[in-house]
Amino acid sequence: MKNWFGYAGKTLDVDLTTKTTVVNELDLAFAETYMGGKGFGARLLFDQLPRQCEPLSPDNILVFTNGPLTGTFAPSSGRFEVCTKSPATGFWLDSNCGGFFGPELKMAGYDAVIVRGRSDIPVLLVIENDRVDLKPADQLWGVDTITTHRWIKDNLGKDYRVACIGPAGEKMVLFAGIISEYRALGRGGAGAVMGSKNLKAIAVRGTRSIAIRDQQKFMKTCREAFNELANHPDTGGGRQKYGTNVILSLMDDVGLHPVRNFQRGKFAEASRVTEEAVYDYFVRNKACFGCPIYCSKIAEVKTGKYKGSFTEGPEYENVWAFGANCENANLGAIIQAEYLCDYYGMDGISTGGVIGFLMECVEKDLLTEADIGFPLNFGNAESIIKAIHAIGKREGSGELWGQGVQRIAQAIKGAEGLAMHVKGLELPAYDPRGSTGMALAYATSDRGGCHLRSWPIGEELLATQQRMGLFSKEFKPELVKTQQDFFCLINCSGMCLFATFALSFQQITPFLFAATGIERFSSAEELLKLGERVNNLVRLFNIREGLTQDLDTLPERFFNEPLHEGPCKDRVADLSELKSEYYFVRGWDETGVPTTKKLAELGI
Amino acid sequence: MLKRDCLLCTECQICMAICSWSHFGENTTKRSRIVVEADWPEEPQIRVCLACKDHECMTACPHDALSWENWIHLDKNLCDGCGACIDACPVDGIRLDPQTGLPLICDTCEGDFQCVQWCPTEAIRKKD
Repeated sequence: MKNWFGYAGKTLDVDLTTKTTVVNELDLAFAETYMGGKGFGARLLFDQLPRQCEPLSPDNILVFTNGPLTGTFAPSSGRFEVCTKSPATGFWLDSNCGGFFGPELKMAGYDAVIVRGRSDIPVLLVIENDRVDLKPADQLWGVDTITTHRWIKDNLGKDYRVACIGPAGEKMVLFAGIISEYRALGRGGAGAVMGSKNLKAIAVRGTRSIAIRDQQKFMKTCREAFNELANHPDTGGGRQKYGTNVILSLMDDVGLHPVRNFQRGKFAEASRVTEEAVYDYFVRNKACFGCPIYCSKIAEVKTGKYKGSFTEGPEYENVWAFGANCENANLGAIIQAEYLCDYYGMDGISTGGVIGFLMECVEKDLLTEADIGFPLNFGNAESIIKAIHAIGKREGSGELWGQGVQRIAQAIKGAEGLAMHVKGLELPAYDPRGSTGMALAYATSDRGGCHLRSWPIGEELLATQQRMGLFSKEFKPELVKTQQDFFCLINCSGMCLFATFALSFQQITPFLFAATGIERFSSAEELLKLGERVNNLVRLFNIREGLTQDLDTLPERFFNEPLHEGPCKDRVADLSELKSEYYFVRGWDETGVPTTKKLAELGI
Repeated sequence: MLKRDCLLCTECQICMAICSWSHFGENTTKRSRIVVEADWPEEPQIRVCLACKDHECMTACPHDALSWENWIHLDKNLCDGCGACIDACPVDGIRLDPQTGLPLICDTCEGDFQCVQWCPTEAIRKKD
């Protein structure tokens, strides 16, 4: 048995159909080639998932994976991943989450938990070091995520860490998430996959240590990185104070803050939903494991109709999804909306996307109040809350709404053009008409409409030269490709993307090498190539599942309807040159398929 | 010794990680003498020896394994891990090491206060 450094050295394979569990040794060549996190998931799903498997069938596989830095003293290293085939898009899905579950899993001795099959009854997977049990969970079925966390801590032990689904996951809302320690593996419907397997929750407790290869070098790197994070204006300033809302008013100022389901780019009531306005609701700061940035907040509503509501957040994306996107400036309602998404266990961005879409259907007379059962119009805060309950319980119209905008639009005549999604995943809070980078980022993201495969708008807004600015097409394919490969590497490592706002690649490399002692992790170039390898493998997976280059696109609205006001007035999106250039830069052919030359270069 | 301001604590557990690291050279939070107890969404509680004047743990120890000189000292040869000190501690500041079964009690890193040095929010500080 090899002595592992950085890694726990074992994976847990759980078959829910046969109720059997197997512990396997981690393979060194596998770790060296795919590192962990998204990389492990990509290789595993590519090799083991039956072609064209139905995402909500027992054939689908749900993989929880750590990276080599997860749970280590490296700053912001509390991240873990879940990888599966998405029921929302039918393509690749990986979702990344902070909190404490990943580190606990590592300290229990596992780099990954692979879940297969389907249990005949609701079950709870309990892991305590070497002991793994599947327990009946009938008493928890139908129970919200917050009560589920509490039940596990009260009944199994307060130091258990939890990843669970709520009613939305059980009822297979296609954008149901997995809630872990009040944070979310939100996007793409991993919660529905977990629900389809009758797996209510995983509870884990461990008491082990994580061996570090070069302790002196590792701690020196930690010292430097913690200093860097503390001194950086974002990670040691704005993000600590405002959390992810730090960019809220900036996005409205540049006119890329989507309003009324992406009909406009500036919110008339923006002054009521600034980062300062959200800050007034914060009662304290909260952090994930080992993170000095503490971008998480506990917010509480102290007055008004939503008095008593609270949430861990609200995050920038949700403030937008239930705010500007629904033309709602009531922060109390936004906080309540985010709480309810956690409570039912579903993704805030997609939930807000669905509600904004429905509101526009009402505005355009494609849906009536009689169809819905209650008034659902832009600016109506209470109707947002009602709609969330309907989706979370999948009651009445909520049955259809829980399938996401792409499928709802197919059921409502004339609504297709209003569905703001890419590949079936609802879009987040950046209007791509005024950012060539985001347009390309959305179109080429491996899991559909997502801002976390690459986030070029950050570079564009900070650009000192116009040729790297929002409207320029120069270098954008290179920027998006490099960011995608870098972000992918970070999602393999167990570190948080936010730490990379302050830490350069050259500062991150020594962590991976000192922690693991793996020679291939000592070069930034090799690491970036590892990110590229994983992204290409995921591309092959998606192509196998039916992806064609015409799906690497944006909703029609962005090509046809210019923005009305602000610095991006009159702008529309144009992918024509960008996309072909991106394929070229990636070493893919003109139809977006990786060439054999590229695959050989990456060792796939 | 230490003083706490739990409202400033973000639950990041950096104190726990550096405590385990400083004493055992191990990357874990499980062998820490300081513990952050979280009960979401309530504010967390930092549990650590606060060096009470009465030294209840010493009085409770049936084997005279604990003594005081600037901080609580443990004589490993006398301790059998019975946990009487844990029950006696009025601030819930003692825990058993999951590897050795012996109590973990803050020794201020012999005056080096690693948790104070690393805490990002000054939730844990030196008592003047």
